[in-house]
Formats: sequence, structure tokens, C-alpha cells
Amino acid sequence: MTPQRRYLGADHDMASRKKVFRLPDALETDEASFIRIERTRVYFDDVLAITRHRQLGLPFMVFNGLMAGGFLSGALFSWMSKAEPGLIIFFGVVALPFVLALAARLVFGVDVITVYGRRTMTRMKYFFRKGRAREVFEDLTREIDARQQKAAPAAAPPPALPPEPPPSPPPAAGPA
Amino acid sequence: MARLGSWRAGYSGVSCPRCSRPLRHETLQSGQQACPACDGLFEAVRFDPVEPRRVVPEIAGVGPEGSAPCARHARNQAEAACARCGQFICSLCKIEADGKVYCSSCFERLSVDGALASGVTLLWNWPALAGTCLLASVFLWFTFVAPAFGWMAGIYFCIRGFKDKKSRNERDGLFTLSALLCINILVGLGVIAGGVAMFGALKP
Repeated sequence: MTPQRRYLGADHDMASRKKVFRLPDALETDEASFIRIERTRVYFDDVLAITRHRQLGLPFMVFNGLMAGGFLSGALFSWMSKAEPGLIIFFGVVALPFVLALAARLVFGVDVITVYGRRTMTRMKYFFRKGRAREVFEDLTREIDARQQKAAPAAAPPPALPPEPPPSPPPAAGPA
Repeated sequence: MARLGSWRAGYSGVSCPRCSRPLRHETLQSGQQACPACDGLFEAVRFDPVEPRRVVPEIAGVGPEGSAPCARHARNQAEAACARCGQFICSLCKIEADGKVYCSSCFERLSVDGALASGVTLLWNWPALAGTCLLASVFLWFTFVAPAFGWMAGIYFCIRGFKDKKSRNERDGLFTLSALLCINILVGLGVIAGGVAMFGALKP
């Protein structure tokens, strides 16, 4: 039976949704794109490197910045043209989620963990749960290290045989 | 629809997690470091996985009466030619995929490019299908066809999803499937009630 997998994290963007799960010996990535899911694995034996960094995410910042800027400009323009207060409030309320998202991203950033294998890679992003990101990074590092240490003796070439003892000299012929 | 396998296409090993420029695995060091291209900081832990030991036995001698030698193992007799590059390959190098024979390097390249159908694990996204049917039943109610059959298809896709999950021993996503199943059943009951009421009203 297939071993039980455990959800670790996700990497969602505008084009696709990826979820990363942990198997006993690998990381499994499900990349969903409407009606299909493509499944790939990065085995711990094959991992070349694991990285962690914090980023803001340019597309997210640009999108939210543009939306917030647009609606706040609308509110400002309405205020300057002495429009009805309801219009100003409307623009302000619509702009608020984008402003909050922008501020939250600026303050917290996103912790990204990337695992590079020989043939494929996987990535997990953590917005708020920084402790969880650190825990996953350390846990994966420990597990991969242990797995590769375990695999090393099995893959190493067999130990060289001890040198054969020199041939013993022929027995000396006795006196005739 | 986004192209599937975007992660695998063109993957060439370790790269900068910020700018995706390739990094040399040999020069990568564990600890905090900056990318030489973008100067972005990141923390890395480098691993050196051991290559699996390959024992290459000599399958057969190559002589004047034998066939051509393998391109990679000169002392092995070639059994086939790679369908992509045409190199002669022995039975150790031969990989059969999608009804064709490839050498190991061509197989790896095609797999990375996502060009081999059998090299990819593709599954049906049952929750997405069930959700689409649900949305079609609700928002395309005026077509009469979508609400009449959409919820049935939604229930079918949910059941297929449950079976799939069970066969693969997965527990994630069960809540989504359960919720979709319940909502599809409720929509179905609503459609049946609406149909009964409508036909009842039409009766003379």
C-alpha cells in the first residue's frame, strides 16, 4: 500500500496551484491545472541542495500596489472634486484590502523553501507561519542528511581485498 | 490553461532561488550566501548524493560475426538504435517508453522536457471537475440542461475522487470532496423539487 503522505506547504501563483506533501523517502508535488494534476517527486537520496530565503514577491506587490493606488486615487479624486462622501467611502473600502495585503507583505514577506533534486525541484511558500517554515527546513535538512548518510555505504565501492601474502618459498630440498 | 510540468521543463539542477540563474553545485556552499548574478541573499545547505554503483557486465563479445558495439559500452553488443539520436545501444542502456527505444541521455532529456507521456504522472483533478459541474448547475440554470445533468456529473466526479483517494491511501482533500458531494446532492434535490413544482404547475 502507498505510504501515507503529510501536507507540508504550497506554492500558488496566478497560473497554477502546487501542493507539497511529505512521503517517508521523498517530497511529492501535486501541480493542479484545472482538470489535471501532475505529480512529481524529489527523493531524499537525490537532493542536491535545499535553500531558504525571504522575498516580497514582485507580481503580488505590483498587482496590489496598482489596485490600491487606483482605488485610493479614485477616493482622492472624489474628495478633491467634492463628490458625495459615499463615493469616497466606497473607493476607500474597496482599496482597504489591497492596502492591508500590501502592508502585510511588506512587514512579513514570504519565506520560501526550495528543494533541488537531480531531475526536478519543489518549492514551498509560507506567508505568516515563519516558525513552521523554519521547522520544515530544519526537519527536511536533517532527514535528507540522514538518508544520504545511510545510502553512502551502500553505494560506495566494495573495500579492497587485503593483499595476498607472498608465495612461500619452495621447500628446500633435503640432503639426498 | 497553464502548461503542466512547468517545473520540469528546462530544469537543470541547482539555481538561485531568487533569480533562477543556474548555480554550480560544486561551488555552492552551505550557509548564508549571495547569488553572484543578482546579489540576493539566501541560506543553503548543500548535499552530495552518492551516485548509485553501476556494474556493467560484458553481455557478449563483439567480433566480426557480432553486431556493432554499444556507443557507451564499447565491449557490449548493441541491441537497438535510439529512436531520437540513432546511437547504437546495448541492453543496459536501452529504455523503452511509449513504444519506442531510447538511450538513457535522450530519455532523460525528453523526460525533463515533458515530451514523454509515460514519464509523467497525470491524475484527474476530481474536485475541480465536481466544482465546475456545480457552478454550471447553478449559474447556467436557464439552459435547463446544465442543472438537469450537472449535479449528477458532480456526484459522479466526487465518488470517483473518493475512490482515487482511497486507492492511493491519501487523506488530504477529503473535506473538499465531501463538501462538494453534499452541495451537489443539495442542488440535485433542489432541481428535482423545482422540476416537480414546475411540472405540477403545468398540469391542467
